[in-house]
Amino acid sequence: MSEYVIQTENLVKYFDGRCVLNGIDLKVPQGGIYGLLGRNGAGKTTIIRILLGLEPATRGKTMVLGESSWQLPVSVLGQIGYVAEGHNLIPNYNVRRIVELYRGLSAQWNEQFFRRLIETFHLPMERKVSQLSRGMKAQLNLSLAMATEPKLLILDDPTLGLDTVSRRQFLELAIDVISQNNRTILFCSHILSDVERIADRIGILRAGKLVVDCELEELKSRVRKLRVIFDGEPPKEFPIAEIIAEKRQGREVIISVANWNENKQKILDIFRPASCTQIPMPLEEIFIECTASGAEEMAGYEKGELIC
Amino acid sequence: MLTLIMREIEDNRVFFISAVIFAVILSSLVVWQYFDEGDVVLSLGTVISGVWFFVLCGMGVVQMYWDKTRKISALLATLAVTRNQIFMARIAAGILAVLASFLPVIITMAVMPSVIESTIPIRREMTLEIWIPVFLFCFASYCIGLQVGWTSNKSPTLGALGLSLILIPIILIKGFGWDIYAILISFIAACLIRAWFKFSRSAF
Amino acid sequence: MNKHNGKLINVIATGFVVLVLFSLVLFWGRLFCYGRLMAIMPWEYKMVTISPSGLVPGEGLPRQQRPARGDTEAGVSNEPNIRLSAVYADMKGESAIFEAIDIGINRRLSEARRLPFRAKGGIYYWYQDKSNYLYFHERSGLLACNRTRKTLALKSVAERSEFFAGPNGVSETASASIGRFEGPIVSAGFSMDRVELYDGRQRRFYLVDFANGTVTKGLELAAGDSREPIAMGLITKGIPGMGLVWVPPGVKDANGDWEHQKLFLPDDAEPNEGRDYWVFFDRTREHIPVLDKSGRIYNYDTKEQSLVQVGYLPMPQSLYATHGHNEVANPGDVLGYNIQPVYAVRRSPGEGKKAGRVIDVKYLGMCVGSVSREGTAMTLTVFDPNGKLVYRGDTEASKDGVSTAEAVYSNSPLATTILFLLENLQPVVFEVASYLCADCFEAGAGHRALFILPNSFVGMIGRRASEILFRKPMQALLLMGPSLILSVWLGLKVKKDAKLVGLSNAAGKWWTAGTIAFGLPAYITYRLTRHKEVLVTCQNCGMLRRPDMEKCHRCGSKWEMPELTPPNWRICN
Repeated sequence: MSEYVIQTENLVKYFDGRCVLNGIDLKVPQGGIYGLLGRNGAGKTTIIRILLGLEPATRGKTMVLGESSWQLPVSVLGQIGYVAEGHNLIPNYNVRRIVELYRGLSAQWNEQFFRRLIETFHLPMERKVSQLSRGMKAQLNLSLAMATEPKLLILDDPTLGLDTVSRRQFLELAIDVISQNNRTILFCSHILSDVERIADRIGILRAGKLVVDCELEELKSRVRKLRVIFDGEPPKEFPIAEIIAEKRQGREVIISVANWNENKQKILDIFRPASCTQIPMPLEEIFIECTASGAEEMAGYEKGELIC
Repeated sequence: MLTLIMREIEDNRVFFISAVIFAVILSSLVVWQYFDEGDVVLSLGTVISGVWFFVLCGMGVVQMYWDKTRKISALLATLAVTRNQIFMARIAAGILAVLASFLPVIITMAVMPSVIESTIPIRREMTLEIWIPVFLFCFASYCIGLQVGWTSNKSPTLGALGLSLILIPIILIKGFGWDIYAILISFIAACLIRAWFKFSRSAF
Repeated sequence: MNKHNGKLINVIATGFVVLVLFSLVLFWGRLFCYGRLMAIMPWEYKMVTISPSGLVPGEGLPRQQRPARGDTEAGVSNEPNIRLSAVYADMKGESAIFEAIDIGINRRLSEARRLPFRAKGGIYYWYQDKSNYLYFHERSGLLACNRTRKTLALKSVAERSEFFAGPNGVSETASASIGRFEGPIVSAGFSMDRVELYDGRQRRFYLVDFANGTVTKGLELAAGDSREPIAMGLITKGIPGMGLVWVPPGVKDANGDWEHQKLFLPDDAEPNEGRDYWVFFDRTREHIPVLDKSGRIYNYDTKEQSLVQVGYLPMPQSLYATHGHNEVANPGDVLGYNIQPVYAVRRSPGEGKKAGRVIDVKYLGMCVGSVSREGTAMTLTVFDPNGKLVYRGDTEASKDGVSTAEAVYSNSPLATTILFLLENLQPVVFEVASYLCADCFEAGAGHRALFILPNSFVGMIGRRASEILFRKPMQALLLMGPSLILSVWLGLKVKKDAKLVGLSNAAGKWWTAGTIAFGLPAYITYRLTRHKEVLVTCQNCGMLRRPDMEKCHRCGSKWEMPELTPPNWRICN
């Protein structure tokens, strides 16, 4: 089997003539947690739906666990667990019936583990799904997905609606899952602190492209935010490639640059700034910088070939 | 697969209960016919069968429409089942509903001659000749419902009923025999292929 | 299954569904128009009368006062107290409609109770008494007679008996020793005890006598004999078909009531004695009418073991063809027919109202009527005892001799026009097939047709005999004009759309050809199965292109310019 559990090649998706994904090449390695981020409407859920075979791609190739995602065989589907955004369980079923359905249709089922989760979350078995709170639905969804002991767990905003304690419990559970048998999690969330806590690799979607796809630590090291203060008037333009964002206030310029290296430092030094301090960026800051609109107009001199 | 079929049956239990009621009514009419060979029984049976024909069409519509609006297949497809299995389970439930409605009647018609001596042998021989096309006909109506129901519009039922209404006369025209079997079986196969094609290629 | 095969199967399946439903809608539309035409048909269009019938020599009148042949005025003679013999035939205008909707479910259910027609599978009934019946036991190949006798005293006690008859005898069980019939043609409707039948496999007539338990072999037709009986005894066809009544000559008595006039036949008349009455069939069963598959009618004489031709089914007029007097119709070519042989029976003097025993039976001739395929015209013929045509009468719309087959359509131009247009909505290939195969279908089946329409205007042209080589095809093309125009127009639309949505050249050509061939159903199928992805503007050529294709199907350019504007930096590993 390939070292990648998920592989997409030039994935393109149009909805009613509008391009949402414009050539995504995503590779999720086996083992570990991959955090897929993006603003609302960036296409995260679309990618997940395509990977699960719920939506056909317009163009491109998508593979999950070595099989084409549009026609996943039962053997592969049985190895995937999925927690959907919005937790779309069948509303008029009660919890017991949903559990029986999952139990009957899953390739494997860990009853003991499931019972433990149900007890932990205190889920009422006889209540209808439509009558559960959002948080309870999330917990149920999670429990069902985990009980199938999936090799690949896909979580689309799974902690939406969970309180802080439940979120923490869930994250610990996720780490627990990963530590067993080299499993993989694809994790989408808007709560970046959670992603930062557990993710190994990060992918960020913007304008239909995967603009970031690397390990978290590497991302932090490759994106540099600098506060540069000049004695006089700052230069109108910095001939530095891959400027993500730039903000000017008087003699102060705050720039965010991708793939920071010595060359870029040398270029900056030419302008003899009075001071140049690095602003530490947590993942949330990096995300905001990378996905804020208008930043694509601030491209540097070195256009053309992208450096990855 | 059995889980999927049971799920379909439970979700559509109203139709299955109706099928049993229909079977009881029609079986009673069959028995009555042996004692009173007037036209009333035949007319009543025809009317009731006609109503049931539309009910089965509605069942097909409801199965697909609810799936689409409640995103049932979207949930099932993420489990260890394929789209083909979901679809086949749906068809199996439809076949069971049709069988549940007609099998008791056919059995009654087959058994009655040995219980009550019929003066007319043609009844025994006509049993299969009448009920096979009626069974096929009702299943065809169900298949029309399956095709039309896969839409998120609010009124697929009317469209399905309209198409079913157009299909009814074919049995009046062609009557019973191999030509009606051929047309109905081909029609059913075509409807199922089309419904499967739509179901297997659309987004959930 | 690969993607292309799957799409092709989907197209075929969708096309079939559309075709069936579309054809059903058209069928009911045509039936409605047809029903309208039949409903407004005047009653005089549906009747033919021939009087005198020509079967009664002299008719009791002096020779010099005998009316000339061809006089079809209804049974009035020169003398007020004398009524001439006459044949009345009337066509049930709804025949065509009933053929369309009655043959199916209704007839099948009716066969369970209405008698004594031969039901599918060779099951017969004996009138309304369902406790006694005659049927063909297919598995054993034997004719079975089932009787239930109820005792007078205890009506609840029934004694059942069943007998089986084969070529070699009668048995109480379905025994192989008595041989086997293969799809016999039974002269039903006479008596359960004595049954005449013809067995096609052995090409022999038989007389089965259940009362005496005997089977008598009758005439055998030689292997090379072209005669193929298809019906015998009471021979009628059609629901309700046509009515045929032969009225004997009559004389008014002192009270003013009509009495049958006795017939004095010159060859054997004895003083003060005449034949008592006329019958339509021979109760002595010595003479049995037999209809052959070629439309010829024979008289089977059981005593002399002879099969002599005594008439034929006449071919009625149709809209585009005038059929000659001697043209013979196949039984499948006509919607209905009725064959009435006429016999004179001499009996010994009876007591009171009881008739005496039969002394002699004489065959006088035959009346035969047939209704055209379309149900718009009827022909009545009278044959003498030698099988020579004596009279022929056709339904006429006016005294000018305009056939009803033509006049029916001009009675309601609107219904005719709508009927014509509905026929032209059929696919072109089916219209061509209707033209070529119009003769291949049985008349009644033509009214139940969904796809190929042998009774359509084009079908009628197809059946027409024409001496001029290209006249028929040209006329057919003219009648198919609207259909051709519609198909070509739709085909061009499909061709344009196929280019727009990026179908390959081959696929586009197939669709265009298919739409021209199959017309509106094909166009609907195309619309239902065509690619539904929304098209986007190509950055290169500015035309609409399909987003699921790597290259623009118009200019061939790849996706070079992204629709979105992502940043030019990447952080990838």
